[in-house]
Amino acid sequence: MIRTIVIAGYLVVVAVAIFSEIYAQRKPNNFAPIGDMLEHVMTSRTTRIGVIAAWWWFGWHFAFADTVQLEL
Amino acid sequence: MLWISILGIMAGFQTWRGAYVDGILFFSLVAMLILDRLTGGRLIIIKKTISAPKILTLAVTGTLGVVLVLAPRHSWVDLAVFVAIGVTVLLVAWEPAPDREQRPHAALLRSMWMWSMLAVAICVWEAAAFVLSVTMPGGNENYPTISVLFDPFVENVWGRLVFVGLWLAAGYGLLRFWRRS
Repeated sequence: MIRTIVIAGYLVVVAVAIFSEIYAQRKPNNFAPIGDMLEHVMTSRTTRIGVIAAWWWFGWHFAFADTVQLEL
Repeated sequence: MLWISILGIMAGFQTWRGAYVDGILFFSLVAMLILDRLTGGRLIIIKKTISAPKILTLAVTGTLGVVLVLAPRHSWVDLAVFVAIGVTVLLVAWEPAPDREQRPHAALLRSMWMWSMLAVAICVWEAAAFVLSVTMPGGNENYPTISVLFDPFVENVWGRLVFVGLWLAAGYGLLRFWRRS
């Protein structure tokens, strides 16, 4: 039951993201599509490095790095 | 400053959870960006802009993708490819892109807020699952993090093919290679 709630939490975020992008594609002048938004914010070097770092880490973390088990 | 703070929080969280390599990488980025700010954006890594014909970029990316899919997971080959991609994208991303605001500013602001909130939401949910997985009975079984859910998928060669393909395509889009000559 708890596992289902945790997984549902991830899926809710993914679903909202998909619906947001569908809405943005229909009303781009009201809510900018993610591509246009990223193109705008990535003008700044700091944002650009931040977004690229997040992207790289996503691949590194899920495809390469071992899952770390912390002992508390 | 917001992005530097986010990367700083990420560095601290990774170090706390014992992923020291990730922590060092994020702390290094934070240091570079702070130094860049302090020098008024004059920190130069390379003097010449990196550019390559699209066909060459696609071929190299495709080759790296094939290596990432076929190389054993967590191997030195895997590590070398990730480091090579990381260094290359850092060099390319250091050069800022010209602003081409195509949408009304209000529409861009709404989009920025929405995507930022979604990113924060998934990070908080994931961090909470991680903390609960190491403190509560049932651990990973009851409170799976995204990595725990993804692990069996990327362990399989077909799963890795899908993941690496999407990841490289996203990186390609982010760096706007498609739009460059």
